[in-house]
Amino acid sequence: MQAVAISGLTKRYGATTALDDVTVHIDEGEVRAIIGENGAGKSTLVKILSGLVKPDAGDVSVFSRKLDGGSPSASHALGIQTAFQEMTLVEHLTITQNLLVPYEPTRFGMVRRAASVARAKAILDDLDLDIDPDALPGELDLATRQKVEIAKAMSRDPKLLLLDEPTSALTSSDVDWLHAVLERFVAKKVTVAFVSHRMEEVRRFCDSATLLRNGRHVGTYGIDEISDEEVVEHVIGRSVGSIFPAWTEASNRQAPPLLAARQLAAGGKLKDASFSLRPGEVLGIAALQGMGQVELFRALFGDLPLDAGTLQVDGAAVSFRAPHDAIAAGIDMGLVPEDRVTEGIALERPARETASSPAIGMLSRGGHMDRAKESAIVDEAFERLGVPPRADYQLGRNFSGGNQQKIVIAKWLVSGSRILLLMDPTRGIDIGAKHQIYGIIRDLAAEGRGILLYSTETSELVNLCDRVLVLYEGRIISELGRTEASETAIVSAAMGTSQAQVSQ
Amino acid sequence: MTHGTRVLRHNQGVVVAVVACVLIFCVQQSIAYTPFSYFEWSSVVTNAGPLVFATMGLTIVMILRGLDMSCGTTLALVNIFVVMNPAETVTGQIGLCAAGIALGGAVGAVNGYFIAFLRLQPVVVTLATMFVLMGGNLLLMPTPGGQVPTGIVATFTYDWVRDILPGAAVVIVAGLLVWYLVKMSRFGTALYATGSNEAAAFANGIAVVRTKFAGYVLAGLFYGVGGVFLAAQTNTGDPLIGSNMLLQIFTAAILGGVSLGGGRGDLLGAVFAALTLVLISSALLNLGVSSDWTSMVEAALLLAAAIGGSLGHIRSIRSTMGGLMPRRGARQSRPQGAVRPARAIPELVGSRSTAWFRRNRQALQLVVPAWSLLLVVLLLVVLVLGSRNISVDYLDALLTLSVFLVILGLGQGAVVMMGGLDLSIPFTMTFAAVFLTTFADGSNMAMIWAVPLTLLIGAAVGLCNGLLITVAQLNPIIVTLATNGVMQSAGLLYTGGFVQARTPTMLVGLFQYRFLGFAPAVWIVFAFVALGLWLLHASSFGRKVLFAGSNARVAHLSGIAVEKTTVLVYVLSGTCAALAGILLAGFSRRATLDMGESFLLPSIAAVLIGGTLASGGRGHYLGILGGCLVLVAVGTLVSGAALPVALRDVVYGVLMLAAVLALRERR
Repeated sequence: MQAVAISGLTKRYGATTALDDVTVHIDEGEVRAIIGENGAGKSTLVKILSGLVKPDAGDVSVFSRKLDGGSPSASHALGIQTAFQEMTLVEHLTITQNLLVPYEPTRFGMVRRAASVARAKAILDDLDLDIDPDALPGELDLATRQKVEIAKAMSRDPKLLLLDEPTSALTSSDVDWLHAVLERFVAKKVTVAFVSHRMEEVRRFCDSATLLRNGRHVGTYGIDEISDEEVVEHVIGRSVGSIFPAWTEASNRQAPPLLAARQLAAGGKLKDASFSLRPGEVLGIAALQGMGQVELFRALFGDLPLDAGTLQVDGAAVSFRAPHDAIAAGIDMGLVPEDRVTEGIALERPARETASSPAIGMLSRGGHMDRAKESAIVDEAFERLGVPPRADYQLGRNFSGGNQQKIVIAKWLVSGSRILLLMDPTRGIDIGAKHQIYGIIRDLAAEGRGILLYSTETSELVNLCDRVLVLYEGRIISELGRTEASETAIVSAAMGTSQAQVSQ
Repeated sequence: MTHGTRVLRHNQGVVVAVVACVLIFCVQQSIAYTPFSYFEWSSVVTNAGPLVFATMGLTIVMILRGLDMSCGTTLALVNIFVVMNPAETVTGQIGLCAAGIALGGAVGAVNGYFIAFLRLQPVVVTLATMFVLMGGNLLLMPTPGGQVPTGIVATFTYDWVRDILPGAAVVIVAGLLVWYLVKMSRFGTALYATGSNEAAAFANGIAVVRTKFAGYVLAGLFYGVGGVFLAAQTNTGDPLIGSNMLLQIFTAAILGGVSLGGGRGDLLGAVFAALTLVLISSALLNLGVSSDWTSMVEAALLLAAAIGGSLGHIRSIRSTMGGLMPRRGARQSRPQGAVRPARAIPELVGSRSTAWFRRNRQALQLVVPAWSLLLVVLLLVVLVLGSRNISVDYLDALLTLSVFLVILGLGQGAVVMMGGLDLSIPFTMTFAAVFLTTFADGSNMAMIWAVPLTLLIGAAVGLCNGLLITVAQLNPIIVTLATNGVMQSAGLLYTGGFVQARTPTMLVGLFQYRFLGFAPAVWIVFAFVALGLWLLHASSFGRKVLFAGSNARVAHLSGIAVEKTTVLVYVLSGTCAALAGILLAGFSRRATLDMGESFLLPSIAAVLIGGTLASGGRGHYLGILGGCLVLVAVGTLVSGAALPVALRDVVYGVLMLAAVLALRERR
């Protein structure tokens, strides 16, 4: 019997097509991996099945019943339960309430508190989790919160269990836990859809894999029918070699470092990071979710105060009170933030204004904006990055993810940054745009800029970087040179399994 | 963490409210003339009753992460509804109470419909409701008066058990019981979950839209009880009481421990906070403090409670001030490539005019609707009042009457574009007028000092607003509501209750004389508009305002001094309010202590009708200008057709909501 039958499924967000005419079937009791790069449409598929969004076209039926989408409770009624990557725990509710909401046990319309706590305890015990049911989510660490999120979905007697990147914040022992509990569901013939881009876990957990690329279904294979290399090629759409630019040494090993960080600690999560960045170098940062990488980038850019450590630019000690100081002339830093929509680009303003925003001071005299000069400089940056000219007057929200990201990068060309901090710059954009951005990154390095690159796509770190630093629980635990930095080496170091290679 | 400390931490706000209430009680007792008696206890509870229920309602809305500006006026509506409907029999009186409470619920349902189903911003919707009700209440009952059925008065204000149990206490406890039943149901969890994180609540399968709607209805029902209580307690109807209660209700709600971030708070805190406010006013009475101080004390309490609530967020003042100060050392000019002429944009090649349209489409979209609406209104004026009324004289009158709004529109417009709201305009404006006339006392020479001083006071009010919003990280609505209260008291205290001084003749002359066809004041406004257009749309300041208003986080990460810009925007608004106040004193030839009050709604309505996005980041001063003229033209239509003036507020409120709805559709 078919557990899930999807045909012709299409979903658009503004200028971006997230899912494009996808047709997929999943058999009952199957554990299906859904694999694709960031922005390939995995999350959108999960969101449609979970009832968070309504598809624009196409049919979905689950256990032969039609799913309209757009109503989580309707999905629940069909036996679909989801553990989301962006977790859905509510800050002001206890773990008990979070596990049970909105299906708490009631009597005469009133929630039975004692029975609720007992039920929550039973759920947590059943899944071997030692978590206080009276705690608030904020009292738990990220990995534990992710386990609660998974436990919530598992406790509701799912017929179809969706796990959206369930291991993104889990360490290797947590992954073992997940494997053990998942086995029990597999034994009960529960259908599982497992979204991931870690092939090792996919092989361990799944029977088959559906591959997505740019919102399109490129094929479904038995897990033994396809090699890792073939998966990557299908997912990228070409061989790995051709999507990344040829790597040439651009950094000058003798040159003094542009940026030097010594024992940085910030925001509680970043505990000890020391490194230096040379001109022309692309320095990679690898880490699981929540290991202090966000704090590292924010602290370097003056967006988060340093708790400890020192920072040098061009050999001189600096301290930033705000990003303004990091952008200032003489320092010339630029940040491409993790979430471009909330942090990178102003959606309701013409894209030109985003591009010139760090340079307002430079582009005005006596308080008057020099519009001609602004257009000239911004157009030059847009032309170089391949941003369409309509970005001069059209609002930021009218551009695809790839173009939006290029507009964000344009900011730092306009302001002449020498040190670029790139936070997952290809998140959620299509392959073509990724390819262009890879070229841009190497070009910018070749001009003598220093680039710090954090990415959730390990292949980017392998193919773009001169060196890769691995951040684990707030500390840099190893440094991998270009020749050592294979995907396996980076992933196992990031999961904290090998701490041998700490290089001084 | 033990269970006990955890319960305390979850209910921190309530604990603080109870402790504050006990402390104030002790203070009040130490200065009271007579020891605390049953009589005093029952009178405190009875006096606090309406405020208690209003605060409970607002607290529910704030748990949902909403705001309700219409709370006070809803109370007033129910109050006059009870007074206007005589009921003799017991069943009739019970029915009247029920109908009053249901009326409150109906207002809540209207708010909830627009907020939950049409996803409009709570502030905008409830402001519109507030203004519709302000006008509507006056239309229903032009002057205070009337009587409340004795049964209702007795139930709410008499003893239920002589010398033991005041009726007010019973009603309040019953209200709390209803709340706890709601809180303990699944709907209660849904209420907190939706307020805490709407997206997560939705993903969990909670019907967030229905929850929000039901929350506003429930809040409305509590306002309804408050309105009936108010009628019983005052034994009369007062259509104007609502807007005066707004500051009190917000103060009590924040003092009661509810957070503007949603998902926290409890109605028990609201009850104790309302009692605290009543105890404080009785303590002040005992100390012989003039009632002129009332709103200043309430404002101070509101700010203190809001600061206390957000203590965790306060960053070191030094670091913020650093951002506000000029940067150390001169900024080196950055190495730049040679500036090349802008490349011909292929899409723009072709006719010059289509290129112009394409480039300016965004601005036109904001400006054209308001001016089209103005044409419609002017057409109506012709139809209703006859064509002879549209003459040069009419244009002159229209422009003269628009002077104040056009000035206020620049300040309020800049604030809204930045994503805020300035509620301190009415009494800043009033204080400016009162201060100027009193200081100059009819002397033209004295204006040399008086005008700059008055403008400085306005700027100072704006500076306070801006600093409280940025440094203390408080909500603009709370802050400006509080400073408005402070300025209200300041006006009363400065003049001692009434203004005797005359306006200098030069100021009157600005409206009396004609220069090249228009009053000098109109020419001043022409210059002002030119300056305003440059400031918002051609200067680097305006760029920062609109860019940061669209997304403050993006602006911050682009190195824009968002906090400094925010402060400057409020300083601009305060200065504009002062300038408008000065001119209004000239126009009216005298200053009164409430002359600015009627300008709050129009200043907000003009900005929104002018196409400004209520959440900030989009807007054009030309559009706002059109909005100002629309409102003034509507005003002339209402007065020209001999309709009651109160109808104007109703029309303004409806127009404002319609404008926001129309803008939403176009997005």
